[in-house]
Order: sequence, then C-alpha cells, then structure tokens
Amino acid sequence: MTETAAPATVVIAEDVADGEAADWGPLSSLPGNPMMWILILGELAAFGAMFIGFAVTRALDPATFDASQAQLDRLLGGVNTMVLVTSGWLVAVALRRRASGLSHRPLMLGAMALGGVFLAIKAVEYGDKIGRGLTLETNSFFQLYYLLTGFHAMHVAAGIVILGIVTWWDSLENLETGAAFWHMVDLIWVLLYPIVYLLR
Amino acid sequence: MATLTRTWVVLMLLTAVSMWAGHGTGGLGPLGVGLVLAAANVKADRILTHYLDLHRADGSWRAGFRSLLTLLGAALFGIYVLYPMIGAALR
Repeated sequence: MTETAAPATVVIAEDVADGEAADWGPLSSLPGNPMMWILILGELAAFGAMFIGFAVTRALDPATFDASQAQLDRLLGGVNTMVLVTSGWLVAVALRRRASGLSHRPLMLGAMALGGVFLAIKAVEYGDKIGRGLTLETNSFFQLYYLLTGFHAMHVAAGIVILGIVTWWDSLENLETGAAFWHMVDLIWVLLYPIVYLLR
Repeated sequence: MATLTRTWVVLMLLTAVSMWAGHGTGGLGPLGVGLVLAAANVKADRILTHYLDLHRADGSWRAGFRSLLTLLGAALFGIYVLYPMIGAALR
C-alpha cells in the first residue's frame, strides 16, 4: 500500500507546485515573487502604524519632541537617505543588467557596501547620542527614535545578507526577490527620515 | 537604465529639498510640513513604480499603493498641523 501511495503523493505534490506557480490570483500581475509583495504590504502597514503613533505621541508633548529632535543630526540623516537611495539604484541597474545577460556582481557589491556605509553612519549617530546620555530611557521621543531607526537598521543588516545570498546564487528570480526586499528597506527609510528627523 | 537613473536623480533632488525645507529651528508651519511630506510621498511612489517595477503590475495595484501612501501622508499632515487640538482632545 505504501508503494502505491508514494507515486500518487509525488504527482499531487507536483500538481500543487504547478498550481502555486500559476495561481496567485490578483498578486500574479505583480513583478517578482508575490510573497515579497505580501511582506512589503505588511511592512508598510506596520511602519505606517508606527509613524502615526509617533505623530500622535508628539501631539501630546510637542515641546519635548521638538527639543529632542533638535539633538538629532539632520544632515547625517539626509546623507544616509542619499546613501540608501543610491544603493537602491545600483541594485535596480544590476537587476536589469542580469536580465540582459550582462555583468551585475560589481553593482551588487557596491550596493552592499553602501548598505554598510548606512549602518556605519547610523552607528556614529547612536554613539553620539549615547555619549551625550540620550538613551532609550531619556524620554518618549528617544524611545521611539531608537525603536523605529533600530528596527529599520535590522532590516538593512538583513537586506545586506540577502543581497549577498542572491549575488552568489544569482538566478533572475532570486535577484528580483532580493532586490524587492532592498527597495522595501529604501522605501521605509524615505518615509521614516522626514517624520523622525524633520517634521515639527 | 535611463529611467532608473532619472529616478535616482529625482530621489536625490527631493532628498535635498526635504533637507532644505526641514533645516533650522522652530516649527515648519503647514507649508513646510506639506512640502516635506509631499517630497517623501513622491519619493516613495518613484521607488515603488521604477525600482520595484510596479508600473508592470495591474493599474489597480498602482492605485492601491498610491492611495495608501496618500492616506498616510494626509493623516500625518493633519496630525502635525492640528496637533494643539489633537493634544488637547487626548489629554
């Protein structure tokens, strides 16, 4: 009985695999892996809720928030935005070159290096704040500052690892999926920077 | 590739505009808040459309993401401009 069941299981598994590839419903028209788009939607919703929470918390204590925000380095935050945006551009160009059968690895390595520069600048910022006694326990602004930027920095670190993996195992689908994650990290930062560093 | 490079230039310019609009001390006022949020919204839309290739998807997806970003931007604009009333109501 076991011997007859095994081939049937294989056939069913193949059918399911074929079905999954073709049956993403409305998600099918999205470029790249649909699972990545579900992640992007989820991350946008999660960070969007945190941004609204940040703004409402500021509305309750604008004086503390504005005085605390003035301690941030707006220039470094802007430079980091440019670093991440440039890294995203390199990944997008690398993906096009891979699709055209051209060399793409130097661009991917450049994108990862810029991701490292982003984290290094973030570390400099954290070092400066902690050195001045501005920590998680200082006030609600710095709690949210470390929470939001720290959570995002974890995504950047994970993104660098993912870019490394898809640069090594560089099928077009892998590269598309890795690139989508990296652009999501970029997308979140271009919203986070003005809210945490600039708006008042 | 040219579209990607144009997108990158737009993103860099809008970042510079945000940095200029948000520099200095004191409140930004409704115009400044609106300018900074509009720049962020356009940047996010450009990343979705060109870096994430959303222009290849159904129009309903593009409209959905644009609506989500616009809703978020409008909510933040309202909270930052009306914060004295919101703070008083929540206290």
